Amino acid sequence: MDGIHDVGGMEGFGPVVVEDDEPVFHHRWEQRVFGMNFSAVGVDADRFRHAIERMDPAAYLATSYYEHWLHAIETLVVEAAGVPPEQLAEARRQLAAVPDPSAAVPHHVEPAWAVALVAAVTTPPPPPAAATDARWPPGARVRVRRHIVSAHTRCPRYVRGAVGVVEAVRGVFRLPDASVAGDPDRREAVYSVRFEAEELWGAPGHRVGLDLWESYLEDAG
Amino acid sequence: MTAEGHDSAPADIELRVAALEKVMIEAGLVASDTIDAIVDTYENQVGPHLGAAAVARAWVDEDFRRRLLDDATTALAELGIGGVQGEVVVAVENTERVHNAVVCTLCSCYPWPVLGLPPAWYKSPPYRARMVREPRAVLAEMGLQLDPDVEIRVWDSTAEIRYLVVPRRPAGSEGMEEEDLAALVTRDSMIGTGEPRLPS
Repeated sequence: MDGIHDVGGMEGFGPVVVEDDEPVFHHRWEQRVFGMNFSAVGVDADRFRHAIERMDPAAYLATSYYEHWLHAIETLVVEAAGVPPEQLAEARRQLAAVPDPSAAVPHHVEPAWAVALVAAVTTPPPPPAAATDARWPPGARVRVRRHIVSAHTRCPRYVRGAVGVVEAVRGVFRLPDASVAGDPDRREAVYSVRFEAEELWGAPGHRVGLDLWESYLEDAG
Repeated sequence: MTAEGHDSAPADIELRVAALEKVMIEAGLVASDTIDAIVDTYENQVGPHLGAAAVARAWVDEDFRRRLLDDATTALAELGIGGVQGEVVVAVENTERVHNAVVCTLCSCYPWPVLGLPPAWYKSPPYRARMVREPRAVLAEMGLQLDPDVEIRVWDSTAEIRYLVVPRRPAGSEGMEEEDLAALVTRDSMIGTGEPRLPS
């Protein structure tokens, strides 16, 4: 999906605004949203990213990071966990009637689950399988395919058609494009590919490395 | 409204979030304390002090430095560092000639196990859009003036590989203890948008 999320190289956004001594979270609701994503609905990063990418483009730009997360979790609670959308609407109606909606959320604890969850997120995940049959070795010249048509892809627009050099083969990973389309078992080699700024932007001065799945690439001789 | 909209969170958002939490708790998808525990983990336990410890170790221990640059995921595990958003961590080292910096143009991928959660500017469209196109200008705006001869390498985290910049050890830090060195290593120096602090 060539959505609004794919902002690499776009112009007109203005300066990078840095907040000094920024807290990890700015609001209590951001904490709740972040924590809620660690559940069966948020565990699939491809599906989660795709839910954000499907936001209305104007709304995407007008809302903050954790509002994107909120949108994604609301979407996936319905799509992935099978909660009827009316249930969310009904909960909103109920809580809108009380003075402090946050205080009216049911309190239910599962201490063993909480401990197991923290252990899981702070344990190194198993490494990906080595790409023993990778098509290109480091040093090979590859071209990014011009046309990538899928509901969800991790190939940004700004590198399509560009020629780069394979810097490293990182292992075999699930292909997001296939995963979101219902085939979570398709795996491919992922390459770190280095591009010259001249190739991407018509002006020299730096290099950009991207991690790209094998099917995003073709031979550039 | 700021670029990130932090000042514009209306009461409506709190209502939406409360309603979602109610529904998720009732459906057994989360519990009140799973949320609390995750928030505590990323607010108080996992943060840039972990990456700083690894960088300081690399500065004082040449063997560790080599292992970190060769296979950061495994080297970090030696220090008990690892977790989600760190399936594969790649450490990229700054030198006199090369400066590395990290971005995620498609979302906001960031090496959580070594740096914690990303700051708002890292997640903002201006940084994500501009960093791959005009990194020298962005870095200069952020206070990092690089010599024109220094090659900038920007790493766009488009897959599940997460990048940790190993900044250059500052001049004047010779003979300092590892723990004191770690205090010089800033979050931004490990993203590549800043330099380590100078020894006082």
